Amino acid sequence: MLNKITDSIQFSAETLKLRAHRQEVITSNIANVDTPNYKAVDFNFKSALHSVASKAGLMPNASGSAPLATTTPASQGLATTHAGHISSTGARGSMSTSALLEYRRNVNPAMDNNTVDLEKERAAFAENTIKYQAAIRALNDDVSGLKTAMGNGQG
Amino acid sequence: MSLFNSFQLAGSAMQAQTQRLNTVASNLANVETAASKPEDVYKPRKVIFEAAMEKATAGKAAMAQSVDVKQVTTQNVEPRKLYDPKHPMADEQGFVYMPNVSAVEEMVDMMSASRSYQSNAEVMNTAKSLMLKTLTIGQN
Repeated sequence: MLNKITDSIQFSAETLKLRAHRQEVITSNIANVDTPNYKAVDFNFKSALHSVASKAGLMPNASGSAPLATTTPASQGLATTHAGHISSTGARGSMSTSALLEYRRNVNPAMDNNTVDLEKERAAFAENTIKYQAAIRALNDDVSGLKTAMGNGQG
Repeated sequence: MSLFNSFQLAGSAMQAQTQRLNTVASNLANVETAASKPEDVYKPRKVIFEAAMEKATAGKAAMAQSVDVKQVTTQNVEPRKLYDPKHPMADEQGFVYMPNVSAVEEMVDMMSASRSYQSNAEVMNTAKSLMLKTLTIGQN
């Protein structure tokens, strides 16, 4: 039971981390609106969260209602028989988000080859701000749920 | 921590935009600075920005770590030549030379710089409020 709650907390925490990273990425685009040859970057949040969560064994089940508790013990990963193999375990929550960035496509470059569309970036920034706050709220709800569970049921 | 980098990034962008604004001010202030020789005329200046990029993973894009002013270039435009023999700076033929600053262009540049500055200030404020909110996780 506790496992489920802590998994939920970790899932929210991963979401928050990715949101913070995206906030930084969009900041980079807004800051470079006048930089010649700068290319606007972003990453696909859905697939990024999917990859982080599945690496940590936190993927929601098909109904998408709640994160599925991991059933395999953490020690049961892929065998690494070569020095160059990457362990499938141990990467829990420590994925490098810098490997996700992609250039924005379908943009009209300006005369100086800059591809930042300030209006789009500001819209994305506002959207990401709201979703960051939503992730904080989800995390807070998880924590208060845990607190309730730890209490004696009298609030 | 990602959001701290936002501060540095937006801060460096604001600094760069301020320098751009200073350059515009310099160009506008010197719009009537006369000279008696074409070589001595004030030349309009322009700043060029450069992004310090993070190290990119192979095959992937990278984001910027900071924005800096790469260089301040002087534009080699022909000075305006005015015939004004009574001007104290006039040469033997009665000509004075004025910088070829386009006031309209400079005003547009100024507005662009100030809008970009505002955007970055807003980004900083948002980052600050998000971080303060992050500090309250688990307190309710």
